[in-house]
Amino acid sequence: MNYVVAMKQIPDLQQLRIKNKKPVVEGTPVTFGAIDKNALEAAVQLKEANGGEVIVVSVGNEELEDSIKEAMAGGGDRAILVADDDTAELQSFDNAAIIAELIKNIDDAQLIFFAEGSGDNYSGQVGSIVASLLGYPQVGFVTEVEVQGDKAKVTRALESADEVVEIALPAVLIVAAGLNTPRIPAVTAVLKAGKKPKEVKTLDELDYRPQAAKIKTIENLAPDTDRKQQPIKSVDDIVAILREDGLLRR
Amino acid sequence: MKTLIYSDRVDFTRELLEAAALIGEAVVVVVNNESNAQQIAGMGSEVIHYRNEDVAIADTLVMAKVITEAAKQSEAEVILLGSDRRGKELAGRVSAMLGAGCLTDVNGISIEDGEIICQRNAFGGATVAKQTILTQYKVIAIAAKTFIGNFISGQGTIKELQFSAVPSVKVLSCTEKPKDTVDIGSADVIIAIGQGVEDQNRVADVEAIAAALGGVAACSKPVATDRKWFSEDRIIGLSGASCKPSLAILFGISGQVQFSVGIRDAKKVITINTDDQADMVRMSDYFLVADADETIQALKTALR
Repeated sequence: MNYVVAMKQIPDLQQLRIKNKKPVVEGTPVTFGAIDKNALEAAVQLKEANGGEVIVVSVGNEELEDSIKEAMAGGGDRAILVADDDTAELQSFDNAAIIAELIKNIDDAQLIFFAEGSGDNYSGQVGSIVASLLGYPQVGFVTEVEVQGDKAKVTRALESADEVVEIALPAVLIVAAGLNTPRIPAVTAVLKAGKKPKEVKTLDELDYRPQAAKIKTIENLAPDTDRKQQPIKSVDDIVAILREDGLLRR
Repeated sequence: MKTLIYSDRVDFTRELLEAAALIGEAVVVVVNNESNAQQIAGMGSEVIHYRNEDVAIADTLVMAKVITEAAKQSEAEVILLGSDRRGKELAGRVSAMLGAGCLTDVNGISIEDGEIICQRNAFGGATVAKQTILTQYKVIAIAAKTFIGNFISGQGTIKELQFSAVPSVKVLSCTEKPKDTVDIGSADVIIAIGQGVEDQNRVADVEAIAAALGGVAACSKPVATDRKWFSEDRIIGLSGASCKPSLAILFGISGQVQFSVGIRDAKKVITINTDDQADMVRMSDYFLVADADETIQALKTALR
């Protein structure tokens, strides 16, 4: 059986700059979200235990052909990419629909992994939409997976409880942040990453027609700060503030 | 516009009813839970109680079908979900089934010219986006505590409906998590340290200060991940928790956006930093230009 990991190319948020309250995405290096790397690691560990292949699918701009090496070094066996600068205009549903189409053409794809949210938008929709489009069952916020024949035993971490469920394959698993520690690729893995097979398509080649926009963004700005910024002189002033707020024991 | 509400939690449902009141008439879906149905009807709400004991609410595939059917039958075009883990997982699936635009983690709603304007963080919280959904059906998952969820009472109605479905998952077990872990996200007072603090002995000092003020100690990311002075569940910001304390005292934290998004909603912020040009100073109500280590020690002594 094969494992698919859907990963999203995002601007590196640690390097994102804000200018005139607006995010400057252009020129910001691209990477994959931290939770995407957890999803990849989960798939790679299952493959190592059970055999098969890990196929990474991703939709992004033309830099994706290069940045996908990071995922290949992290244990992906091959990649199927839609690398096209026009994908920047696509909304969540279109990305999900494209990913679902790519997955349909992968042989024996039994477990499809997503992150609980992308690093940039963290809306956490794409995995559920893909599951719906493929008609597959799903489990979200996954912290443990065990494959048992044509089923998997999966732990879903809710806020207040851990729920263990049995799910028939093929299925979509949306992993929780931090379920594992992604491996740091060895130098040899990094060197080999560029040579792993990848299939690269453009939007035209896919013949996918984006749906009309479902969401309109009215504005997207760094929030105003209206703090007092009042200088104080000593620890005594801090204590006075604490007293004023009723935080000191009397 | 008519709204349809679903959360498996009664307290969250109450918050969603408050959101729905801005939009129009509301109907609440309850699945296999007599007690929730009764309590929600007791808020004066119209409840549809779906029953099929073979199906668990852990079954996202089936639950999405139930919610989709309920929306169509009750002619509700706005679907409000709690943006907790169950709700977020459902949101995408319900939106796909309804061909709806979907927004999750929405932390503010307003109505302008008849349009529902949703506010949510983007780019890891570096920006705040105002967005609206253009499709006929709209799926909106609202973050906890966006609305107060005031106590309301009234005489609602419960419509009982059986539904048929083939379960797609089987629940093997469900274990409550222990509740004694520190949750900095819900702390009322936070004492946090950053890389400007030099001596690891200050960790015990800030724990003592936090204890004296009924709060919790926390940190910026590198203090946990690089220095390992704290466990990672004490990280404030993009890689950690979003905190809404009434007071935060921040020692030696420069205030990069990756940190500051997690403390932006604090009511009052006091910053201690040697650099009066640090970004954190701009985001503080009070700032003290001083050595972080020395100030921690002095504050601890003062609170004894």
